[in-house]
Amino acid sequence: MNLVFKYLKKKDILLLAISCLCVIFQVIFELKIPEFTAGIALLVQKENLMFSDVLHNGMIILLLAFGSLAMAVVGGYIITGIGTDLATGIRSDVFAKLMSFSLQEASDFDSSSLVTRCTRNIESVLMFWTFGPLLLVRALFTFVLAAVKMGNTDIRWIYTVGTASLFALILLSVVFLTATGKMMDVQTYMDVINRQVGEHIGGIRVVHAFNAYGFQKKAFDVTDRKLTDFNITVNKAVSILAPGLTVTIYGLTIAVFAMGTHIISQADIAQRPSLYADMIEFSSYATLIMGAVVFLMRGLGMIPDVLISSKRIKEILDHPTVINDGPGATVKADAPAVSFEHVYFGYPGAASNVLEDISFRALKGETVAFIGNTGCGKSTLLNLIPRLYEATSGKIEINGADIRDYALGDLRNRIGYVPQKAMLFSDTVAGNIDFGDDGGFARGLNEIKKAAMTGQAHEFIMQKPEGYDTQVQRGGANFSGGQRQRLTISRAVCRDPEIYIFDDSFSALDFKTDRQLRKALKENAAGATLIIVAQRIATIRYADRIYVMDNGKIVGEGTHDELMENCTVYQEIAHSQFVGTGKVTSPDGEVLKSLKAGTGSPDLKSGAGKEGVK
Amino acid sequence: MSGGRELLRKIIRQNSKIIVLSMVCAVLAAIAQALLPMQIQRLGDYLQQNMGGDLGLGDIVPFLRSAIALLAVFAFFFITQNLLVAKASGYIGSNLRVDLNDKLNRIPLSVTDKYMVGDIQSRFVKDVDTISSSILNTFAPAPANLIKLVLLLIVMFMTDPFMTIAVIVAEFAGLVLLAVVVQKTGPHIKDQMEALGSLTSFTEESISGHMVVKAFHCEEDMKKEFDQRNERVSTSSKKAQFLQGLLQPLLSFNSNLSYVAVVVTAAALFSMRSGSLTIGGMAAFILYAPMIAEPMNAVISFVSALQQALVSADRVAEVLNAPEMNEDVHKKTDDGQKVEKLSGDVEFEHVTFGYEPEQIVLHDLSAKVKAGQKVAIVGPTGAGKSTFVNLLMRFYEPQNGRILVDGIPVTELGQERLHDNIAMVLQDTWTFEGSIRDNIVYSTEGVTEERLNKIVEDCGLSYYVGTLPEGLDTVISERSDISAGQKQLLTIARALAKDSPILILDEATSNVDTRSELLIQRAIDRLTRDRTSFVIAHRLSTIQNADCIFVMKDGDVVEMGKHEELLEKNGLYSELYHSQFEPA
Repeated sequence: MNLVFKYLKKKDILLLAISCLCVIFQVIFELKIPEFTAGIALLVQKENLMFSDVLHNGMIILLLAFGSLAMAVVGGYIITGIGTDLATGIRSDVFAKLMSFSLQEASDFDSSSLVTRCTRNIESVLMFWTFGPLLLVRALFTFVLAAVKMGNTDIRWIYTVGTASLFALILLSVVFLTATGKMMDVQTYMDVINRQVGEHIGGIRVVHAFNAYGFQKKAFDVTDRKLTDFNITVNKAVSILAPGLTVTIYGLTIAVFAMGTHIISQADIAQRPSLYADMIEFSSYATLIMGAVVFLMRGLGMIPDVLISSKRIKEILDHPTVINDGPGATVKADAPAVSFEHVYFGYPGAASNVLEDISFRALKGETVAFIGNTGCGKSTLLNLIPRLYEATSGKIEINGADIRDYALGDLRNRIGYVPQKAMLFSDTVAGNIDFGDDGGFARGLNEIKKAAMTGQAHEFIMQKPEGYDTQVQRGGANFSGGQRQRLTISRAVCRDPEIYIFDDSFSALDFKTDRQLRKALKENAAGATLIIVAQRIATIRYADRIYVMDNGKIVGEGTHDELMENCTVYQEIAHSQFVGTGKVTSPDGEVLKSLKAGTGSPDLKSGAGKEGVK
Repeated sequence: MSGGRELLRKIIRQNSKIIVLSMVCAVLAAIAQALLPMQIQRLGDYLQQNMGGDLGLGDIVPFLRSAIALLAVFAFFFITQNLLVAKASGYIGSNLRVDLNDKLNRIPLSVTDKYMVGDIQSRFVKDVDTISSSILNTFAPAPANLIKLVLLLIVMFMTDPFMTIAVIVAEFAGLVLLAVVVQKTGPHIKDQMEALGSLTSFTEESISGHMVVKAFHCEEDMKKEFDQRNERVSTSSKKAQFLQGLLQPLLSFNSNLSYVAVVVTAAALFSMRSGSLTIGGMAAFILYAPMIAEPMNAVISFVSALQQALVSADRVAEVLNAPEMNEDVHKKTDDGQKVEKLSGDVEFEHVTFGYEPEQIVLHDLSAKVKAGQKVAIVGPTGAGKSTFVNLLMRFYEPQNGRILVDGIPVTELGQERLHDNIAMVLQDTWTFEGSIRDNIVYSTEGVTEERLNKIVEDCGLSYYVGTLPEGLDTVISERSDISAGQKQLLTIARALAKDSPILILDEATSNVDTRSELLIQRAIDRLTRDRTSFVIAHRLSTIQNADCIFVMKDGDVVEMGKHEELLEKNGLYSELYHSQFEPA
């Protein structure tokens, strides 16, 4: 519950106190009304009835009723205000915390559960805190009123109340214990449902293409069955509560009468009438107390859900962030743009390292490329540069300063990152290109257009009727794969970064667009350092230096021509790309010759490669 | 409002038995509950009368016995009612979720592509929850309350018609006030649900695009946007919650109003010395006033809950009533028998298509592919290559022209039969949380362990699978560190497992290293010797040994032929081909 108190400001506590007062007055007014009705009943019995007296009492009752209503309105207004602001605050903080997670921390949570934690769980907490305090105050106040009046009666009657309370307590505990455990399962399976719905929508083409309707349905139905079973168990457990407590109230009344009979039968005849009156009074108060318990119950019924929800929210809020801002970095002008020194990386909990002893350098303005087989760790290596993951050991420097010294914003604003999977947001095209922190000012349309031109996206954007205002559908469904890649490239260009990171980002581009794009980058981002991961030799052959990776290690480095001479892994890759499968349509020699023909290109700095190698 | 009412009506119809049964239970419980105070009253009276004489616990046993019996009856029916409702609510929710899930498969892609994941998720979970938890809870006690109301009114009328009218007028005045509040609440509940849906969608997208958000240091912007949507939720839910919270106090105000009406009318009647009202009659009415408020209370909560359920029902019905794909989609063969496989001739006849009708992507495209041919489709990005495949798969329907497989128009073939004959690897790799085995075998039936191992080997996955602790049974999820290339290999393996006469590879190997690709290519070539295959790719190694290459540009097939023929033509293909050797 301390989750909530942290969010209550002084002002809120004052307001909360006011709304509690409102509830108390509401109860007082409500309890006063019967006194005046009784008064009227007495008036009416009088011989000379004055209508004005009755009207007077009637007006008082009406005033009390209005007063009670007004108190309820004011109290309700305040409490919904506090409750909603509370939920808004928690939601905002949970989201901020989520955004502060790097991929490393986010991977500790199931991503479908993150959405639930950020939405549904917070609503449960809100519901409880909007109704809970008022129910509690109402119940407690009634309880105190009744208890004070009950205080001076025979102790033996108190036993009956005690027994009834004990029974109610046991009932509540049993129900809550049963429900809370299953409620946890309900939450888990709701997460699974969420995940499966997400997978279903994301993979709907595959479901269609494979006629996998039955398969998909079976998997969904299995989850749904489990969710339904747990739901029913929880519902059943909770549904015992109301009848159980009502039975307790009636049972208590019966017990009071039975106990009364016992007490009266043992007392003197003379004392009996007053004892009988005590009993009637006591039973009415006992009912009042139990009524308070029913009010309490309505609040308590929400508790299992609220406890679990709070726990799930707290898990996020309390999760430590591993990757944090550094103290600030001192940039050296003549240092390499990026340098790795003996970097190792393994995913947390994994037995083996994904990257082993990676060392390389990319000087300012250089183009450095990585190539290697599927799953060799190329993408992971790129993820380390903007600190999406933290290297397990070794040192990564940008402009001569350790990346851990940079403020994260400072570090990442130097980088234009183009991910392997073209991730677009449901926004306009312009909004997708002008994405990210750019030092406090939004880009104008001209800059966005310029970036799109460099990213080879301008032409197809203009073909859309709404141009840059075209809405991008979920996952970029209204753009082709190559177009999506060009949009994500434009997004990186729009930031005008010092360092570009391309994670196999040209894979869906045809060779011509690929080439035009690299040409445009060379012209418009002349001083920038390019780090490229690619599968196609054509994309990287003019890089200043190429690193060949195999199973997490660098096994070769040099220019295209050097590697063609001395790196067997690289040679194999090159061969596999230019030699047809099965049917050889171009003779080997011819292809390789044409490959080497590029060496004479004037803008290829073949010498620069060697300087960069440490 | 779209179909929420019908949906609720349907649910009520389907559960009519349970509803009636729980209503009966509620009535019986209410009768027992009404008789109980009378028993206690009788016990009290007995005590009062016999106070003067000998009194022992034994004397009241008959009273206790009948009171406890009534209590047991009450408890039995109340609990039974609640258990019935609990169980039925669970199944109502389940049926809605299953219907929604089934429905998603029948909605055309042009519609589902516009769905936001988070919004749909909140319909599956939150809206279904609201419907299932409210509908029976409100319906079950309704008749019991109605009976109470009617009985009370009869008793009141018999006591004094004037007074009864006064109470009814007072209650009615209060009800008007309540009706206004309830009516005002409706739109705010709708706003709240919509705001929550939009917030959920945004959250979902921020989480799936987490990597980009981080890399672009966009946390602040995302938070700003989130806070804006959060504010919308806050504003709408403040209003909705406040108005909903008013119901309870208004109800007690209502019953107080009837108090006043009772006493004032009574006093007026007395002061006029007319009518037959007695003091006792008035005392009775003072008791009736709050009693009549209780069933009224229930009626109002019933309306309010129904209103909330209606908002959610509208959101669920919107998906359930979405337009469906053509009827033939799920059409099986006439006799229901498994037809022999098609051979794989594919023909496009004057096909014209645009995702938006005014924006044509394919212009009058005609092409013919013989069974067993390997066709490569190349062209600049956005030329319509994937569209070609989308149409063949009938993900979309052409505006003009037709597509034939084995000479049969695909519209006659039925989508299910068509898809049975096509194995496809899509541009977007898609895996789900499940074992690698499940991801590969997927919906294909009868894949033997031996064949599975062969496929894994052919796709170059053996090494990767070998490094996993549980091999093929290792569960992969988005948290697993599986590379994009490995995911592509999995999806290729999935298509190979399906073993169909037509194979479509849409940029299937773009993230796979070329050595692995070569191996896969060989495996595919072996497998597709007698099969028609369509390959969209940019890499030469993938396309140059095709039987026929379609070169597409701006929605037209501009060149067609073998690799060497096209090179000699010196057209677009040759330009694309040579651009890979030119320096940037």
